[in-house]
Amino acid sequence: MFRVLVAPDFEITAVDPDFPPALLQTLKTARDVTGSNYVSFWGQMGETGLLSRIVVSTYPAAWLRKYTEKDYSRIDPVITKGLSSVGAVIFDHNHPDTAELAEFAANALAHGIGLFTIGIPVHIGANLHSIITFATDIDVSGDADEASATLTKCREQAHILALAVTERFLRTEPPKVNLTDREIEVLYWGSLGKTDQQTADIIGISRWTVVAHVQSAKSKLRVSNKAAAIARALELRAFVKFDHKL
Amino acid sequence: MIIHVEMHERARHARAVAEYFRLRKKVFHDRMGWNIPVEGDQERDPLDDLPCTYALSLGAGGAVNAGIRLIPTTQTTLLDLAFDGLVPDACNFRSPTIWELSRYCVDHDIEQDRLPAGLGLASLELTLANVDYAHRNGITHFITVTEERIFELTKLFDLGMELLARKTIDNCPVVCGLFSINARTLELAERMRPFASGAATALTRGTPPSGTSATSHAQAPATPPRVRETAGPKRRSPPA
Repeated sequence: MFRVLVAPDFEITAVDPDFPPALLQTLKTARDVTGSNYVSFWGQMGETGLLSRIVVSTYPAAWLRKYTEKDYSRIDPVITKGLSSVGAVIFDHNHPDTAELAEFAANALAHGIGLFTIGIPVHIGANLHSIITFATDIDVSGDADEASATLTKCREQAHILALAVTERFLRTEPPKVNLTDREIEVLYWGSLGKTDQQTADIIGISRWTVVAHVQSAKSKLRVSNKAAAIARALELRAFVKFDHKL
Repeated sequence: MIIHVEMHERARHARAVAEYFRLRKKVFHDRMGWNIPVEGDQERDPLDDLPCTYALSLGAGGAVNAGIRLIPTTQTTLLDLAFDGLVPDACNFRSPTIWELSRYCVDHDIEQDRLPAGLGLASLELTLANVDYAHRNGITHFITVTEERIFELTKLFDLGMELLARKTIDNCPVVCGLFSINARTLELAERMRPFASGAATALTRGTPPSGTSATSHAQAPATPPRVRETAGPKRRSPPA
């Protein structure tokens, strides 16, 4: 699934007439705040493949056509490295490493993309890996303070954009909370004031396994700490059913 | 030499990464007696299966002298897994520009050059490399959990660690601290850089001084720390 937004006028392509205005504004803000020429979100869920991929882009239509025609995502270092990195990936279009990348970089320059592409990885949960690219003429190849400040802005905007796209396209259904008995059990003992180690001793599993169950429960309940997970589990009356089994 | 290994580079640096996991097992499990799972001769946790960066100090022949793990706080961190609730909810540290440092360890069996204050060269190189990494990646802060005595020692080096939380876990006082990467940090790094490059001549070789001047986790104590003189290993949660 590709969803494409085309610069310079942010004209929405015919295949996606209902592109959300809020997301459009997020893209524009990310571009302006970072001083970039173009911004793109590339997300990948689960297994690789077209159906598991979403792209939201402000890049010019001609460049997107060329990129797709040549299947540049195979070699684009920002994509190939960025989807499994946490560090920024910077591609200097004037200094490609290989002949194959030289052709790709020359085409990017010919389309006026910019001198550099900055890739900022954002990983949401265990299954969604994304890379947000910023095409820019700002020199980010060195250790100058301006480069660092630009990268900080890119990091902040990348995260905002990734969350916005995820919320809009990837979380259309309300979350289903499906806690396992073990997850409920560790939260139950936690609600009684037991530490992870005490819970581990009671249940007869390792402390680290308890921690893993709590972490999994927090993820499912979309909360950031154990206390909030317990509170949420109480709201959902998760302990009532389980209480009878204890 | 310091290398930063991203997830997509792990295959290329497989030997160094495996050595780092072995070093973690030797330091955290065998020496310090932490209650953490090990697989064979390696120590790994669930965070190692997610995207993260390892900064590794390589010595002669490519041996790993020291290492540390870097994770953006927008992902699951060790603060979530092992120190849930340590930092008050009011102090929201989660940001794409704040990264957690964890699993910092130094091979005490390898003799290394030291500064007079006891700071090991590998530790200094690793610290400077992480400041550079932060500067190159738009990272504004590092957050870490460490023993309180280490926090006190950071004051000796004027590292400007901001205290976020303090707690005693299994009789071990630990703190959560925040390092800013700013103009002051960069200036301090530049002052220390000659020592790392060998341009300064204040290095000494051999074992570190004992006592409080030895820095934190970076030290290679000549004699076992007092905690190991007790009958059994100290069991506690794994600090960073």
